[in-house]
Amino acid sequence: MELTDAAIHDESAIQMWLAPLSCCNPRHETASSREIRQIAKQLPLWIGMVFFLFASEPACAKSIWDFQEPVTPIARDSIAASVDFLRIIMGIYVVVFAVFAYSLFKHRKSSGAQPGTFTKPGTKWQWALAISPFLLLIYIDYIWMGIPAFHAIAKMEDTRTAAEMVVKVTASQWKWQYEYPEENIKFVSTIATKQDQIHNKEAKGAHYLQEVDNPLILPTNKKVRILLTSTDVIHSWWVPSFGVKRDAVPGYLREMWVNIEKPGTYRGQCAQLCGDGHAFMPIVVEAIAEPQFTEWVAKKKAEGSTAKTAADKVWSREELMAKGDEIYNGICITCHQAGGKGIPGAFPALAGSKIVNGPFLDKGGRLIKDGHLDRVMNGKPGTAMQAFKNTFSDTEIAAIVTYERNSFGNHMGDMVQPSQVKALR
Amino acid sequence: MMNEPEAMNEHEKRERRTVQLVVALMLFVALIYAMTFIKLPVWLPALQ
Amino acid sequence: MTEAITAVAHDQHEHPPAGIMRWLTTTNHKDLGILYMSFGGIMFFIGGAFIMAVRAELLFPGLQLLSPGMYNQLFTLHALIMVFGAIMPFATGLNNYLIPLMIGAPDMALPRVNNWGFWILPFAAVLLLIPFFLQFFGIGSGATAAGWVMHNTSLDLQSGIGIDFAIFTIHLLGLSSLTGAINVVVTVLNMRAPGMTLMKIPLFVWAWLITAFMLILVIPVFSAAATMLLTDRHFGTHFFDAANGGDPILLQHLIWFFGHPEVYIVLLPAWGLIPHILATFSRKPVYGYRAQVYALWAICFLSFIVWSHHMLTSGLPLAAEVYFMYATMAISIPTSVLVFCWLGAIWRGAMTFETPMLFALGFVAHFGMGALTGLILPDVAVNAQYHNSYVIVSHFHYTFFGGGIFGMMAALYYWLPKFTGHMFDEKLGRLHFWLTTIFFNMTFIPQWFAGLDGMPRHIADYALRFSTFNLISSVGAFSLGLSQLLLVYIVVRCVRGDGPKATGQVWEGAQGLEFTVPSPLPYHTFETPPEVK
Repeated sequence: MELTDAAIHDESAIQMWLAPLSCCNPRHETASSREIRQIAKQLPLWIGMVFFLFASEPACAKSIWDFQEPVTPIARDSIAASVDFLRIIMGIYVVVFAVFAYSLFKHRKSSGAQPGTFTKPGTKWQWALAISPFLLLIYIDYIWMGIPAFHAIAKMEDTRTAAEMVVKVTASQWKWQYEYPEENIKFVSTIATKQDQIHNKEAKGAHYLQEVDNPLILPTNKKVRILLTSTDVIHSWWVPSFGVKRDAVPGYLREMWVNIEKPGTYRGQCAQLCGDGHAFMPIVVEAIAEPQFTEWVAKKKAEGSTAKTAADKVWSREELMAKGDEIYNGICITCHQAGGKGIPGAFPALAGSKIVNGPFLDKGGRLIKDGHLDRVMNGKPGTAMQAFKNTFSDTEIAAIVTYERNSFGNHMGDMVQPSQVKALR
Repeated sequence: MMNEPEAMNEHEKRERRTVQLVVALMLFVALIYAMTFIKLPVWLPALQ
Repeated sequence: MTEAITAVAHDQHEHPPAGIMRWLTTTNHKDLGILYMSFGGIMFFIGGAFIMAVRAELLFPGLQLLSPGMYNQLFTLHALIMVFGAIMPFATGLNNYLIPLMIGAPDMALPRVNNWGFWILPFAAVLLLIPFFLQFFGIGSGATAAGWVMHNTSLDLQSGIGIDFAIFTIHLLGLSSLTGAINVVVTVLNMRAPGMTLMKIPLFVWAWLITAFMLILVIPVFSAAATMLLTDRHFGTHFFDAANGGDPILLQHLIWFFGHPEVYIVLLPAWGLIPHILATFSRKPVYGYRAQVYALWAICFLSFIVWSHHMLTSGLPLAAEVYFMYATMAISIPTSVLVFCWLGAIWRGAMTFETPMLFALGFVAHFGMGALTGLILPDVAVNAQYHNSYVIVSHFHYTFFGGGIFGMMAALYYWLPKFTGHMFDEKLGRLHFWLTTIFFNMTFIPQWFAGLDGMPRHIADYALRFSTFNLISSVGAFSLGLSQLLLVYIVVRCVRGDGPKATGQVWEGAQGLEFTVPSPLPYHTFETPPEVK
């Protein structure tokens, strides 16, 4: 096995890279090897093409070869560990396959090599040589990378020490609800990219599929503890710049933390296959400095109280229809499609639907089971239709039901008032 | 080479061993299937 | 390594029935081997066709061809078909054909069970695919779209018949795999020729013996998980249903307890046959036989205790995360023993580079890349960035395609002359190797970088920053798919006998009992066991 000896003493080792391309058995050294050489000649062309394509990407040339810009301590650690690790494995790969390539070049029948008959290391020196890579590997695994990895996990899992605020994220198919329990703020965030862009009827915007109606607003330089759960299937909250990804599991409260060091807008999306809308569940986080954040909280709280009073006022049909239109095109359209057509076999149509065109309250003013309003408020278990009373305000539910009953060719003529919804919760 | 009765004997022994081994493996499969169904829902939540 | 003194190859005293009945009723291990391998080959192209549609959708951003639901079905079916329909049956076919030859047995120990095990497969495949085709006639909502391990709470994910059909398919496939596995264990333990001790059996047989043990241990778990899912969906149990006190993470644990060993079930047969090929074309004995046997057992053992590294973002407790990280890292040690032995196999040999050797070396190079990228993944903090991104897609295709498929192709080219009695077209074989290698890398290298840049997997449409990567990857995938048609042409020509006659030895440096009998093989071999020194 005298690996090193041979490798050091052979000067033509550089040529070994060419070995696999030109190493045919002389018996077959005819048309076949010419063919292979021809392909080999095209290799640089291919590689060049690939590099050209990478290099010509204008928008994201800066970070295209690596992670997105890290802006939290965890993301910086991860990127450093990842780069170290990639260097190590590339090093191992190059060394191991340099030895392989040397052998491929040197130990060919065509160059008159005589096959050995050894089946294991022979001398003590060869045994030492055979065992040393494994010792090195153990060192890399458990010391070089293993010890920093342990500290990184401990840091990542320490969500509570010195946490300054809490945000609760509730995932549903296919949107995120963000809640600031201490401030009593709660809103839903859904994709803002228009259906026309997705279906190629309109030019795609710069943040295609990575834009939302209500971004999560977080203060910079504050340790934010993020609690995660889900109302239906497992989702996963991932913003690459933060270096964290955690599943939102129904029935559990998972946690993680971020401390964003740089103001800016950061984009990510759901990372766990969660059904048909999986690709359309983006996350946008706007990190702003502390003073602006306080301002935003105050503004949002004020909006919250107007929403509460809004539930008590009597809404006109036009107001409800306008608001319903907005909500339908933001959320319901993902499944029930434009014009309430649905997708046969997957999502029922609303246009002409028996449920939409049926009564929703009985004589005593109670919800009719599986009626229109019941379906919207309580969902249909076992399907993507979820209980929207958990995520929508009274006004929103009233608006969407009114809208659906009077659109897509449905002419029920009635409407639902927010106050009714409030009473029925 | 073996003579005739010895070969028969060897053949029978092999057949018996085969049957025993198959039965043992099938019992093992049944055991794991049952254990997954009955016991693991109780054991595994400890991992969370 | 082994030398047969009396390799008696009978003439066919018992002729098989002609026509279709031969294949329906056969209990001959060679016939069944061919059936298994043909089935694997056909499924390889069906699974490939599905992923072509997926890559076509991903060629450009925006939805062009497929609805998201259809997209989810296609990649789910691609994965299920490739793992359970293509690689596993092909490896089973190889074991059927080769194990009796390699250990000097006349047939497998349980030939009728063998026939039954195979004929379950086509029905299982039809069952899996029926809902997919029915949807085009307006029946049902399509095939399963939950990903190949269904590791999400499928109850809410997808209603309709798709997942139910997949659950029945899983039960049938499990039954087929179990019969095959039990057959292998019994055959190897009971049917060896005199003198063929356990530490003399070829490495391919060892690898399959270990694979069979793994199958026997994990298939019941997978079947039980699928049964639990079925009762959750239809009979009112709440194993995985959080809304009723069930535990969605339990499903992930069960599925990955099966799913991680499954990775090695796919790879072990390839690891077993690579030393044969490397030794043959280096004209040397197998290097490090004992070390490889122990390494295979070590990998088998470790594969059972690391499953949760597939769930590192699901919120395991700190202690569990640390344990699964360190345990997973341990796998790198036996794996690198194997790589070291492959290097030892060619070192100081007298190599020639026929097609099987090229594929075996391609296997080593690509599997090496897959294994090394796997070295980073258990680092929990970094894993948060890699998990469920295209980095993972790239990584496991380097192990499954670069490892599993390259290994199977090396085996196919290596033993094809033995099966058919004719050499294949060496020139085309090499062309096939180079096309496969180039386009395979062109497909999966960009995916690695798309993943680093933050592209999650399983998405039907992507943000503009990922478009270049996906364009290159799609073009690579189409070319990779097309170049596999060359394989069909080569194999069909070889089977029809267009090439020169193959000798019994086939390759100059070939060793082992299967090369002591003529090519093509007589219908019955080793009816009187060869004696092995």
